Amino acid sequence: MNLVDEYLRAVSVLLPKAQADDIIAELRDTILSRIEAREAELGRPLTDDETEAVLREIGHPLVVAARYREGPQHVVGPTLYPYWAFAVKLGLAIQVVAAVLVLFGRTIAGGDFGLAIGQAISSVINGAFMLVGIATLAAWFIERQGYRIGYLDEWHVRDLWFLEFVAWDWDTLRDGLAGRGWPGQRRWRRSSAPPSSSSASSQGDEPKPQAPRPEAKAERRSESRPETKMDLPPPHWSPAGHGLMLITFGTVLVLWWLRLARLDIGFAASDLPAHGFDAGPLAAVNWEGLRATLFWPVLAYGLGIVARGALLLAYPWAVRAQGFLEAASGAAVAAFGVWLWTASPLSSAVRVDGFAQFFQRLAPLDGHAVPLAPLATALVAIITVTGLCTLMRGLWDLVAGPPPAGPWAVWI
Amino acid sequence: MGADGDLYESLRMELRRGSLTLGVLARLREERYGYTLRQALAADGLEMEESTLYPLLRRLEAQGLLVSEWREEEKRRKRFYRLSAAGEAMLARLLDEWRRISASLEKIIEP
Repeated sequence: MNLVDEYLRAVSVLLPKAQADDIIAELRDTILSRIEAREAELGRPLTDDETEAVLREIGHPLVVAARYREGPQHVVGPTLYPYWAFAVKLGLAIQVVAAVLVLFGRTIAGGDFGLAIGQAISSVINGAFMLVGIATLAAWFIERQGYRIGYLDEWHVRDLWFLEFVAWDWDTLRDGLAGRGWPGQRRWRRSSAPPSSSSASSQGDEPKPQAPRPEAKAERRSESRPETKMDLPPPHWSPAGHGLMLITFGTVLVLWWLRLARLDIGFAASDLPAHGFDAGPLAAVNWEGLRATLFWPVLAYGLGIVARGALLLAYPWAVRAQGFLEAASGAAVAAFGVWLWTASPLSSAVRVDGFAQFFQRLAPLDGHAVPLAPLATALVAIITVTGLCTLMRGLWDLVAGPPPAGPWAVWI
Repeated sequence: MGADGDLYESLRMELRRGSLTLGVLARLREERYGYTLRQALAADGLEMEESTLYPLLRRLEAQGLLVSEWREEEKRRKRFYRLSAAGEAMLARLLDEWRRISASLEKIIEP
């Protein structure tokens, strides 16, 4: 009996408290009935080994307890797995590309190639672990919280172009870099012609688009495959793509800010002169102090971006709410830029009172070193303008609401 | 051959999964406790692991298809299960479906 009690104790600690006693009582009865049946068969009491064999038939306590548990018995279920696998592969591809670029940059900057390649490999491996970890955590969460992710149920054909990256080859890259359009842009050309004409060649008889489009040149390239014509918003209006981009950007920002990920640029501020840069007044800035001041605001901003991306995936049609959040985010960025310009410890280094002064500062101070302060000035200006643009775009969405349904002939 | 056997086993499990529930519900028109239920099912040719049966019973009870009570029998307390009214109705519907599937398959297998 001792063996049975010990076995049952092991199962019971793994069961949900509320049901444990009930389940254990039933399980005990089952086991004892089984042992008695076996004893009747043999005509003698069971040895410990035979009792243990019966218990082994019942199953390992972890497995037995798990059978009584509610909820999914997996981390990434079969429904979610294809998304999980794709996200991991995409992330790995991006990491490899980034590592190769950094490796290339370091090598031409005169770094030690062996060291650089070692760091590139280690950054890819570290990144891969973190990627799999984060993706799995996200999947675990989704499986258990029962979240419905809008994109997974209500995906649109226009959002699928990014899947094609798995089939990208050198031709795709060459065409894209040469301005002949990336796969997603080329495919989703649209016309107001009825679908029945889709078998016609795409060259001559297609109605002229109503607005000039940058991809016009790509249109001239003949494509044998028939056009897809659908009543869809223009391809740049892709909530899923935008949402994924926001999540990626926000995650990278947060990881970098928390110093969980390094953007291995390859040289410290003290090396700047050796690389031909002159930090100028920026050298006097207390960067750690600045980071401490900005720690919570930047963290909140990064998490806010991730949340906004998640909201966009979950509610792709809540355009006005998204517009409001985007406007708020843009206002925050613009305010940050203004603060950097006027009141931050950087202010004295970046602030200029006019273009004349800006160009004056551009001149190398000691003849050859490139001064960094004007670069910082430009960067702060870009941050501010970007913030203002985001604010305007958000306000536009807030006022205009979702795009109307119907044939989309006009590109913006 | 091993892989073939595994494939057969997994397809068979898939095929059996739904019909086991049906067997359990039908057998519990009479009150039984787990051990005797399992024996009755085995006598009918529906062998079932305890590890499958007991969690299934609990699930069906949580879904309101079974009712249970603890009672003393043969000097031990046992949990007796019985089909509830809702279970009765559900079983009737499921049996209809089962017969429909069976008839369809018969038609397909032997035209």
